[in-house]
Amino acid sequence: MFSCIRYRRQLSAYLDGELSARKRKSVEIHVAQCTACNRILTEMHNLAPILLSLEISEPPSDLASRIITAAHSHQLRDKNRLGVVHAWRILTFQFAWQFKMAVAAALIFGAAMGGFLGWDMGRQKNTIMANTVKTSVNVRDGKSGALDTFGGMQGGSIEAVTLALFNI
Amino acid sequence: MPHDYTASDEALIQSTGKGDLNAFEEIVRRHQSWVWRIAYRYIGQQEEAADLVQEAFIRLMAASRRYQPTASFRTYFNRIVTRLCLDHSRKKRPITIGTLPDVSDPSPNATDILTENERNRSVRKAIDALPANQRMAVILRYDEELSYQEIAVALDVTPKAVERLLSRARSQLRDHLGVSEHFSRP
Repeated sequence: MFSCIRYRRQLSAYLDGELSARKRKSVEIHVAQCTACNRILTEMHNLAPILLSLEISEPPSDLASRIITAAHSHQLRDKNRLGVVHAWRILTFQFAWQFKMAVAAALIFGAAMGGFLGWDMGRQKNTIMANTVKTSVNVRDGKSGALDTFGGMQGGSIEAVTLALFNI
Repeated sequence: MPHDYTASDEALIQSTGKGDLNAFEEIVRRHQSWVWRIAYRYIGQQEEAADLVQEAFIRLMAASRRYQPTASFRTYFNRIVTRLCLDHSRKKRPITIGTLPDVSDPSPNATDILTENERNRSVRKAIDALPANQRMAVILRYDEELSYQEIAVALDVTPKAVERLLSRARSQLRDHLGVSEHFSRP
């Protein structure tokens, strides 16, 4: 029985001619002596005409033309997509150094503009602060008693010098 | 590009990869029949099989740019077709018995015709009941007469695995068809 289990595992490969010569011979000897395995092998062999008897419907008559039409559409979509990719590649690779120079110039220009604007804004801010302070000081000197940010300062003090510096 | 009817399949697919649709048409003409045979055997429905065949050829065309003649064209395309059939199963479509063609029997015996149709239905049902991999292995073995090695490449498994698939499939088919009144045991 154990040997039957071992041989039955090989019956399919035996039927398909996929066993080595030695194993094939071994199976043939066993099948000649074992009624059960012989029956199984015969049933497996008889499957072929049964399975192949199943008729196959004809394909739709327009199948080939449908395939070709779909192929044309696919090729057209592919060309359009590749056109965009190709243009981008020309821009970035074929004119690589020009592209890189343009990017670098843009970055430098952007940094320079940003720096200048920042400096200019800072200068304007200082002027506004100085004017605010001057106004405050004038108010104080005018003894109007208005609030001033730097209240309590004396002439000749560090604060007065600073204010003088702001007074550009 | 001039159309070369004598070019090998490998040359045609490489031409297709370069945009030659005439080469692709020749491939369709040469290989439509066996692709249809596998698809119809596997699915059992005419329109679904036609859709699968169309998709197989379009995928082949899309892959043609990358094709390298390290494997034969037939093996390469077989794998695409097999993959599509197995993916079709994974979509978990309900298994239905396909529309079987009426058997044109010159005999006026209606009983014979009925029996033949019932036999076809039994076989179709038995095939549809197989797991996807087993079903495909059976089709490639019986209809296309591929070797275990070729089936293994198509299914992306080992030849030993193919042996097991066919062994189990045959066991199930014997059980299913052997007890049917239409198929007598020897």
